[in-house]
Amino acid sequence: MAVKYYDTLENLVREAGAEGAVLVSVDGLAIASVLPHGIDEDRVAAMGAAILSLGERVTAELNKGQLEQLYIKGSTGYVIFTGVKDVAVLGVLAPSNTKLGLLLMEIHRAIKRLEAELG
Amino acid sequence: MDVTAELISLLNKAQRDAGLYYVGIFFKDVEIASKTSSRSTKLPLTFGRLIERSLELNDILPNFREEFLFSEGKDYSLFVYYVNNEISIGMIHIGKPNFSLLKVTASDLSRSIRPYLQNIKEIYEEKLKTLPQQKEKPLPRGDLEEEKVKKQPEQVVVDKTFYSNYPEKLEVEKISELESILQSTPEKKEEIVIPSIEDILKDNKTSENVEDVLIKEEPKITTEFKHPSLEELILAPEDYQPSEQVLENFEEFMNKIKVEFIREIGPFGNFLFKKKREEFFKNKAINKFEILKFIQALSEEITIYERRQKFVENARSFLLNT
Repeated sequence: MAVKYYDTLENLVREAGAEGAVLVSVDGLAIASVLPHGIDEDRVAAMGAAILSLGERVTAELNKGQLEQLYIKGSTGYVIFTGVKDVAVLGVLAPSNTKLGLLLMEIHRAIKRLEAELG
Repeated sequence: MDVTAELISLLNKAQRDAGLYYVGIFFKDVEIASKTSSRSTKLPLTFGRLIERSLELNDILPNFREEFLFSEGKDYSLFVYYVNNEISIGMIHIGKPNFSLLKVTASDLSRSIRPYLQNIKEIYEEKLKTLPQQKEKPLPRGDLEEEKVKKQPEQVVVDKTFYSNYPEKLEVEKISELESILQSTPEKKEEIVIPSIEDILKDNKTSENVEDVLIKEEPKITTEFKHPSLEELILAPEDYQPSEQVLENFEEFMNKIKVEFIREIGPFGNFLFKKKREEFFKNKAINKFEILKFIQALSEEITIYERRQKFVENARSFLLNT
């Protein structure tokens, strides 16, 4: 079952030149991941779900509907969290020299596939 | 001019220049100074928690050194600029998103507040000091009465008129059956602030919806508690023996779930929750997976689909945001 999600993530990482990706349930539990060695999957998963949930609370306070995507830039790269329907969160790690436009487009494509796979 | 006034003056300028809805300076998750058009008191708290969580990335990803966080919708954008690994500038812009404007504004503001970084830390430390003092303050009259209510042993008296006011009328047979169980169960002293059915009846609240009562009381439960972090729960092995602190936090967390459960299922929830909890955690470790299973088991008691969904959603949200 998780193989199809894994394939989608691997495809995303390969096509977009990302460093890793993780699919997380809204509970903060990892569904599937393709992460570089040394990165704790559980911590990334829990934090991704928590950040997106808190972001949604902020937008709810503003009466601005659902928050779809949130990205964090660090000196060594980007971490991008995107909601997949109401059931999961996709986290992508990318290096700082990544082509952000291409990455966002690939994420969008992956989200469509994941939405179909998650039903 | 004192430091806070100077910071507010800088924030005023940034708000005016970029037309911001909200701009604030945070030390970790605590708002030090802000300027906003919002009346919401929750906004700085939620925003602060978002910032605190995002700062964890520095621990998870080696040498990540966060620069900014950004999110946008059709007519809003959120921006957090990390001045250093403790101090951040949070901004909310309502209107067509303009990432560059927010970044430039935050960068300028960051330069302006650099001379005050030490002062910001001092303000934060002062704010932290005041928190324990607030806890030690004598309780106002209303709170003392609450304390008295808490110390009284809980006695359950079931009045059928109470249920006639509840939106989902329960079958009479089922009520009688549960009444007998409730009355035969020895009740212990409760640490939770939820008023017992008797207290509600004594206070002539029989005509009130149970939800209203719980909603009024809920803030008493949710404040001042520190729950085990999600990380703690996730990393807990099967044979994990929780410390006293974790157990205490676990109790508070369970109280929150209990309130939510009672709200969705009705007053019998109090009894059902205790029974389910005793059965469930008899031979099980306290960790996140077991709590999730417990939430699922509780939800199966709620017959109305919408209420069941709402309960699961809220309980999971508590778990996520601890």
